[in-house]
Amino acid sequence: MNWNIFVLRELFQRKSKLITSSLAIVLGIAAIVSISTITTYSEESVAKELDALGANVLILPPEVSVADYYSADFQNGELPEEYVTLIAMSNVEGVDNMSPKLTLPTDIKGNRVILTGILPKSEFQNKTSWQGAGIFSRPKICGSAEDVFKMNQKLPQETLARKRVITNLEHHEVLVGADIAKKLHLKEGAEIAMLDSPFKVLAVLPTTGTIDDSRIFAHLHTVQALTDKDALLSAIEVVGCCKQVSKGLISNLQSLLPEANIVTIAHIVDTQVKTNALMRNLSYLLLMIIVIMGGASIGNDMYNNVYERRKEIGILIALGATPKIILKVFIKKAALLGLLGGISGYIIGTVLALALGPLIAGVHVFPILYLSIIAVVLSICIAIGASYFPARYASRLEPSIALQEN
Amino acid sequence: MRFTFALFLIGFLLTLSLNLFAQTSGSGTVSIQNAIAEDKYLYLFFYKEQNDKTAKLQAVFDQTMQKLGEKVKSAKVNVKSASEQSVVDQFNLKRAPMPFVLVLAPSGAITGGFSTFNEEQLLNSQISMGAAHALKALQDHKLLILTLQNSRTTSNQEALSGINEFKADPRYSEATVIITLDPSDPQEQKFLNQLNLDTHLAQATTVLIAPPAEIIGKYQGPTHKAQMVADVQKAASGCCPDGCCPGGCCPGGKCGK
Repeated sequence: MNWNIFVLRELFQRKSKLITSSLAIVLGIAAIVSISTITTYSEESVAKELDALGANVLILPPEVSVADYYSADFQNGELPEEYVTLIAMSNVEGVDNMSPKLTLPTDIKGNRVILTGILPKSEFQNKTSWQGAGIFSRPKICGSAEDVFKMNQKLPQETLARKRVITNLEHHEVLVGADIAKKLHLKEGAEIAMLDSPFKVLAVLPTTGTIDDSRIFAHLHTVQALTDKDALLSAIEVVGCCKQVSKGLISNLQSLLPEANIVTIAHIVDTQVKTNALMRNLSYLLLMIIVIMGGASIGNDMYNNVYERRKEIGILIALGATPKIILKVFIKKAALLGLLGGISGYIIGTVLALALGPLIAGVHVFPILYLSIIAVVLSICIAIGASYFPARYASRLEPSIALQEN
Repeated sequence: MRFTFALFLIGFLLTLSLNLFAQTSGSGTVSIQNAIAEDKYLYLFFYKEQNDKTAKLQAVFDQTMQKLGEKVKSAKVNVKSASEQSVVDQFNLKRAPMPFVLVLAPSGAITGGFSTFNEEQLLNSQISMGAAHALKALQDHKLLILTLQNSRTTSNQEALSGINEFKADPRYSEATVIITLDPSDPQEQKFLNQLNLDTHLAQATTVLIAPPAEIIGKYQGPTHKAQMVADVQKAASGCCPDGCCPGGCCPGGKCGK
């Protein structure tokens, strides 16, 4: 006798029973898969957002909120540029880099563009060492070592797109965002006129998926001179060493610049991070529920199945089936049940995630293949675990007693 | 008669050109040249407008300069003055908070920059010769190789061999400055203590310092070029000392992990 066919027949003979017994596990797996899929893509989206922002601390004028800065991209409030010198010369720990900016709308050939004046690092980094010999005893976490021999030198468009910092930029050079370059047909080396002044396109920035794609970056002092905003800034983006951000970087910067509004990027993504954490915790809770409920459901069904089939089990044993074979039959049945539950749960969960992802987390999600393996393994383990005792009971049935029962 | 007239004309032109030089160069530039010529520290007081803050800090500055007397040179620079633009641009101070004091060592190193200050801070801006040269090298964006050795330390030659090999490499020679100090020199004790370096050495010690002032390598006894290159490379590829920068070191920008 082929025991595998025997198990398949046993399983599919009563389809309604199959559905009800695996329903709990299918729904549980589906919930875990959908939550995990949405959470994974939501976390990726947060990471990308942080990555694109580059800086993790913003120094803004007091009347400007972080939402204003990122939604409107430019605002009325301004900061004095002398703040840059104060930060560069300070002993505030954890400032890895900074990027002072002045952002204004302007027109190029009738197209509205966002012009951002950015101060190259080379123009303020020397002020760091104006502390004199005190710089030799300042804490190690005050910034990173300079790449003296340009061993790790990157193109300006790479550093600007990735870290929002640029080392050198000539007074009439510009870096152009990907979208605006496409719109205005601008390429590296092209000449453009802005604010009645000629500029040369140093490079076109890679696509970032952020507002930077619509910006044109020029030297801060050129933008200030052309717009009558001498020594004024819209914001200073600070790349803070992560651990220092939570260890007092913000309060130290606030003490140094009491009149500025200092915020962390964490404020922007705070809600999304909290939602992700909630969903992650929810998936753990569901995991516990699925283990208990799914296991109980399958275990109960398996006990009922053994009870209903005790005569057949008795006959099998009388015909020569060993307790090991009986145990195997029920374990195989449970494993198959788990496999079907896992696959169905994964498919349903993924479909749910694809439909609900954009609605719940505002992100587009795609199937995550490795979750199918986790779903199937988890489902099989629960099914086998819950079926072990009924299966053992079946394997130990006494045929004479089982056959005597009505 | 003609000779006397010629002499008079030359004298007149010389005086005129000197006057013109002083007017176009400004007091800041002239003071820097004088301080370098006299091998003295120079204290420059930059200001934009006469207000309470300027008056208060100027009083502190004047009092300190009086105390230092002839040992140092000093000058006051109005950043709005056209004749001072070259010195303002030289130190990129057009957009710095005013008033502002800059202290320059005879080596050319800036040993102090203050937007608010007291007498003690100004006095402490005079540093040892070793510290001033080290600072100058770092402010010039050069890698500083500081080697500590004297007649009592061992492996002096072995320590220098790796350093010289490194310096001889054309990739590194121009942007590398070697400074040798005696660790027992009382003048340099404060500087060496600031670097957390032991001054009672049995073996020659070499330290690699990258701008702004990060120790990126430290070697007891012999030095090896390969090790030094590896340390320079490692420092160049790093970012925050805690190993985590948004958009940089951490995969996917997931910081704090």
